[in-house]
Amino acid sequence: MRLGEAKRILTPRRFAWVPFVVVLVTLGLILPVYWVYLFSTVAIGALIARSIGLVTNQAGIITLCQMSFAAIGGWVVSWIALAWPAAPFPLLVLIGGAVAALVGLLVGITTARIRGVELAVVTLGFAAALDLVLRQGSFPGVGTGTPVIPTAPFDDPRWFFALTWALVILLQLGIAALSRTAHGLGWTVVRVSERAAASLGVRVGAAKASAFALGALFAGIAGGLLAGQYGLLTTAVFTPLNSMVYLVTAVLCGASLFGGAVLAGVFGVFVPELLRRVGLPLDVGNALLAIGAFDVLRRGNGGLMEQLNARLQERAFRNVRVTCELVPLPPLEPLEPIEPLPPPEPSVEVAQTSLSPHAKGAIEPPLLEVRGLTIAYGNNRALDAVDLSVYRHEVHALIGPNGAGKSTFVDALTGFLPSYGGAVHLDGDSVHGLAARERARRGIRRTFQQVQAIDSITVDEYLRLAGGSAGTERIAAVREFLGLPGGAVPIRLMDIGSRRMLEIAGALVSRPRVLLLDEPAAGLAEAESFALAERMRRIPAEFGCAVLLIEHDMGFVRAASTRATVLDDGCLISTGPVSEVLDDPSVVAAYLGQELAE
Amino acid sequence: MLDGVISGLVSGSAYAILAVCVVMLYRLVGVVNVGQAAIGALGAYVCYSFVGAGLPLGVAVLAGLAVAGLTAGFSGWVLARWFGKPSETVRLVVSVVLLIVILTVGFRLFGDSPRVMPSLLPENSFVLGGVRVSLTTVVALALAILVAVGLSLLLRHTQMGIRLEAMSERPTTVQLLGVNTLVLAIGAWATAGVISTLAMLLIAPTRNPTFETMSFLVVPALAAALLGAFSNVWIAAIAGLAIGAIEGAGARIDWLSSYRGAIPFLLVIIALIWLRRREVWDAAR
Repeated sequence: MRLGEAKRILTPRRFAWVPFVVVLVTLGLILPVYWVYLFSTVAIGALIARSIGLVTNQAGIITLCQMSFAAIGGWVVSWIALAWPAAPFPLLVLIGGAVAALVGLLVGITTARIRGVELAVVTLGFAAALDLVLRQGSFPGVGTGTPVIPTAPFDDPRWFFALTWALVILLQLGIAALSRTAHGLGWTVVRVSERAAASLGVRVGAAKASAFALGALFAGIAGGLLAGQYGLLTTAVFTPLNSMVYLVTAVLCGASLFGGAVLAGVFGVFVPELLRRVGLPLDVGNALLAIGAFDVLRRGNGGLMEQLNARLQERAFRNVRVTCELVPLPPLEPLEPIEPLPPPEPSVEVAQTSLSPHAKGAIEPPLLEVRGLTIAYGNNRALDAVDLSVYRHEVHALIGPNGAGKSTFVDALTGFLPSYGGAVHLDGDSVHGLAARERARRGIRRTFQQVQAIDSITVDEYLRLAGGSAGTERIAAVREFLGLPGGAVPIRLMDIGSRRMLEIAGALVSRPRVLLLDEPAAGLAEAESFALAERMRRIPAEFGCAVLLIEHDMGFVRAASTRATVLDDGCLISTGPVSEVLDDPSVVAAYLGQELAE
Repeated sequence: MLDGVISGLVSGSAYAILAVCVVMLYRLVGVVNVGQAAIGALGAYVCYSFVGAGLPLGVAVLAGLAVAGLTAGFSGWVLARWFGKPSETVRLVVSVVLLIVILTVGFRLFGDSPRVMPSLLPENSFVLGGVRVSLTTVVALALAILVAVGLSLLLRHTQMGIRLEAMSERPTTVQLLGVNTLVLAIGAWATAGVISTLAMLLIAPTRNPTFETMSFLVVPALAAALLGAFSNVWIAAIAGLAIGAIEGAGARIDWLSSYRGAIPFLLVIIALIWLRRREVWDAAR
């Protein structure tokens, strides 16, 4: 496989840790104490930037309160240091971080249903309110002038330097490992679309809350370290304005990456240091960082380090296939003319039922049974008492003109509508009242009409996320089946048709019982579309799941499916074997207009 | 207590005016402007500097309004020029950039110490139902109501209002219809900037604020606008007044007075969590 090339280029970056640590140790040993002190501040700034990288860049929540979490950490450390001076300093810092994390968790849970700009304003308000409260009470020890003195050996600046950087590296290793798990990948998907996340089986609320909590943990630890570095904390360090400056710095540098976070720390320390040396006012630095962030936002390609990373990726994958390649399969049977009811597999039972689809229920109960599904918005009925049965081993097409209610039907089945009338049974069990994620876990999987582009993860990561508890055993088979590119390929580099294919692949990896595909062939060239249709009809036999297919391309429907149901204006107008349904005058009328049919 | 409520109405009116400006910009250009109060603060400080330099009051006020209008208009041009397509969260971060830049400029020009600001209105007051009401309160309240009424009339009943709202929803389509969206956007920003300066001129004498605290008066205004989901002018205005009144009342309760600034915000969060309890999903596919 040509994938090897890409790996050779990418893996050395993992070992960049070794020179990084060597440089740090050398700096810590040889630099004058003043510079060691500055570099400790860089590490603390990197922690705060990384916390913003997690909450904002990864989970997509604009946070204007990270310095408030730092203040909580700093307050706790100051308080315990006053009450229990002998306590080991690293322990204090961790306790400070844990308390901040608890507060972050609380904020994350209570704001689960507030999003976007509203959530940003809520975080700003939290920051302003906490700032006000701190100003009234100030930090413990400030009143009596008792500073926090880190316990030996961390009262020595070089040991303190070692502690800060050790914490930065450990926390980064932890968060990087977590970001590769299904839960951590969930943050990225939640940022793109909460609906897509739930349909992949991600706990949306938990993902957002954990991003807040872990972000607060990082910031809280940073605040605790600040308490140790400054001795006495002032509220001026933790103002909402400083949270904003950290946000724009994190955006500028691309703090979802470790390099970006460290760069943010460097900017936060050395921009003011430089301004001081040339005799300019320090607050000009804030404006410089803000204008830098403005330029990064204007270009829209991510922060400095994220851009660098993207360019390295592009170079690494320049000669690697990044699209899906569907090699034509030998046809299952003569394609033209299509039999009235081609059995998906040559089993006697299916062949029998194919002959009399209406008596099918008597022989084999449907896998997915929808009865009287009704969705009303006021007096407007989007769906009106629709019945539909999908049997095991069949590809069932759901067709109808635009606005007929097909996608609404899929939304209702997958749990994205607050309420509907009628009943949905999966394998005899009602799914009534189950949340979208629970339905996904029970095996009702879907893809979306509009591809939910998850740009920052790789093919393998996506498949692992989609597989969830079903594990990874199917990945190889699915990859072969849909001709996916190598696992290390970033989804960012894939074209829209290949991403669509990847979505189907993800759903198949999760061992679904029924797969709902919303226009899988949209945007595919004719040859690709044909090859996909060929694969579609093999899905039941190869992966043991039924398929409900929404598609406008009638050639695709004829080639892929065995039975079809037609919706028009929310009502079921025809159901049965594909060829019969497609020749039904009322179906032709619905598609081409009444006059033509008459 | 009632005394406190009435005196809080000056702040409340300023919050209400700022909140209405925030709502206006969100509805017209899709920006939640965190820098709204900073623009007003810039105008107010320019005005007071000119008064301090011995210029006539009228000239100083006009200069302040002009500076705020120009700054806001320029910001509007920048956002419309480069940030027409990105999401509203990106635009919010850009407005954070705007706030930081204006604060830096403000520190450089005016320093960061609190200053005493003379009231622009005569210190008249009268007694109404046993409560002393100052002229400033009456003027502030009248201005808040005027701004809210004016804006809702403009948005609902004029050709320009319809064009402006259409611009926020589908800027490209409106451009294809031959409307000059850039001019409209700059106009909306400049108007909001001028009105915010008036709000700041009213509230400044009661607070003696620094440039930074003045700029962060946007927080209660944003909270009020949030309650109206950044789209309802009336809820935003009434919430702004209510926040001021609660702060004013809180000032008269000893154990609460130091923390009174945080209370309205807590109330808004609780209200918001309640209002959004059914919003299980993000925007539809």
